[in-house]
Amino acid sequence: MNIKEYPEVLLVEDREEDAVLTIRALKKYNLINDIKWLEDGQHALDYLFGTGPEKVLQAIPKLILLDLKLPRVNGLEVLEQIKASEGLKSTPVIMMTSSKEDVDIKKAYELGVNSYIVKPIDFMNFADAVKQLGMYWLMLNQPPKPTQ
Amino acid sequence: MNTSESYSTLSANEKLQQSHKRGVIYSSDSDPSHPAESNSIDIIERDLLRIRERNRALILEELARDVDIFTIMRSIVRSIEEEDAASICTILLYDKVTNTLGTGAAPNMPDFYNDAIDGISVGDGIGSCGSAAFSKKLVCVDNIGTHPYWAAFKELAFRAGVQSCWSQPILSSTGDMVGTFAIYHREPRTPKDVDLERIAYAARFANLAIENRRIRAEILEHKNHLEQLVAERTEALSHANEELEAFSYSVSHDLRAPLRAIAGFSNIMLEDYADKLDEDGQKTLNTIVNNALRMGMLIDDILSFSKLSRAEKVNSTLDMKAIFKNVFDELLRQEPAGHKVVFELGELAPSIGDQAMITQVVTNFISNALKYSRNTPETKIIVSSKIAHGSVIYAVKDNGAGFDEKYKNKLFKIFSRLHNDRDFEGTGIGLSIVKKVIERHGGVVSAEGALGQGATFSFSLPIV
Repeated sequence: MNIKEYPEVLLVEDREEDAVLTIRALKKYNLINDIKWLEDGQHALDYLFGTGPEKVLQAIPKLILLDLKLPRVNGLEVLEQIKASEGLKSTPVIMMTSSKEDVDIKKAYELGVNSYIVKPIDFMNFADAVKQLGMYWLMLNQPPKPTQ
Repeated sequence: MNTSESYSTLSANEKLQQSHKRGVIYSSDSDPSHPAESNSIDIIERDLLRIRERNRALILEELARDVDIFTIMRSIVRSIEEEDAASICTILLYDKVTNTLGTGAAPNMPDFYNDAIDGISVGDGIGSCGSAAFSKKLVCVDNIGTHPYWAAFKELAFRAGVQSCWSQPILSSTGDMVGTFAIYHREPRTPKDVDLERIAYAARFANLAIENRRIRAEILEHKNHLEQLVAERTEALSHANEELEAFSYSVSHDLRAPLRAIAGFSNIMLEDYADKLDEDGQKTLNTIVNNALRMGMLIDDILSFSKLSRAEKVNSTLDMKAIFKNVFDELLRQEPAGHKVVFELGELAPSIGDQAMITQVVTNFISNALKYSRNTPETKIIVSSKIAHGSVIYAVKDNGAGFDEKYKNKLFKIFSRLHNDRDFEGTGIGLSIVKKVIERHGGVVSAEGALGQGATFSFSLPIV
């Protein structure tokens, strides 16, 4: 039986260290109560579209944080499927990646990413970036009302 | 000369026929010219000269164009046949490997004749041509019917309707055998001086043409080989470039992540365990953080260095004054508030180049000027330009820390630094990026300075 899940934020990140730092920064500024962390792109797709054997998403998260380089299915492919889905396409997706490569940035925007953040190496900057994007997308931003 | 020698190679019973023999062996370097004997000869010679000049011009034109050697040899043969209207001429080509002669051009000889002598051996007494090729000397058989050289080919010659054959070896400029030029007549005939001059000319001209085509073919072959080589190298290079691209991509992604963890978790330790760490412990963690950040800068700089050398250069007119101004304004915003800077921006000549790359160059120079004058109370940066040696030279002068001229040659080398990281942080890549970009624009970079007395960095770019 599927367990119902209602995370505010979905984080798809293969590096545990980066996930820990991200979650820590979001929690530190009291931006979230509930975050779901998945480690690869296939898991994320299964979770979002109910195609896997495990837990299935029951409500659309307020925000999806997506790493670019992921095992099995990479972040751009996940992004493409999210933005192609009627139910999910309005959900803000933020690419958080180490890559400053122009091709990645261009591709992500072509696929409809809402923001593209290059993760700073400096922890202070990193925490600040996470705080700002959390504040903006979770507090300032007004998402469309769910249709059902 | 060796006329008698050649005769002495004839067998004894052949000597009986000596009186009938019309064959004479002339040395090819004998002087055929002789003074004109009468006015009518003068006129004939003038006409012949005109014909020769005209034909020579036509053949030279063919040589200049991409006409093949067999067509050109036929033209030479026909031009000689025009000079001596009663003659039939042929060119045979020498094959070194088989030591034989093959038909080169014989447009007025019957096919059966050409086929029959195609591939005849080179050797003493094998017709006129085989003998001429063998001795490298002119061989004149005045009467094919009686000459021993032609004993084996006489019937063939009669069927082709020829009774005399003079054959001049065609020798290359280095003296190698190239082939033979032969003049046949329908009746027994002894060459006159004008004939000897003509056949010598024909052979020389044929050699020039053959050598020309051979060299042309070699050049073409080299050119094709080069083109193939260039294509192969280009492919290898673009492959290497792709690999480098993939490499720098993964460097940019994979090397940053662990650094972020090192810096991040050190910071977590500083935050969460501050009460358990003494000053030394905190200092140690800060050192770890700082080094991780420095490593991050190094990665960024190396990547931009490798990207700049691979990026395509897009030229446009550059408003250098605007570029300098924008860069300075932007960098000044990032300066510590206490750093007072006077910026003197003169009227700068425009240039041509890649806007993004040159902006990077200007950024590196101005940020250096700011960085190395951070300890100078009254920092002054002066930017000027002048025209010299057909290019614009831009100079950025500061009154900062300067450098020791002794180590000037190390300034633009990648990873080499003239200052301690404690005094002025840096990766040692900035100026090597500058040098690379300016050199890609056909310019040069230079620096002047003295320790503690500021520095002036100059770079040249094309004039608009």
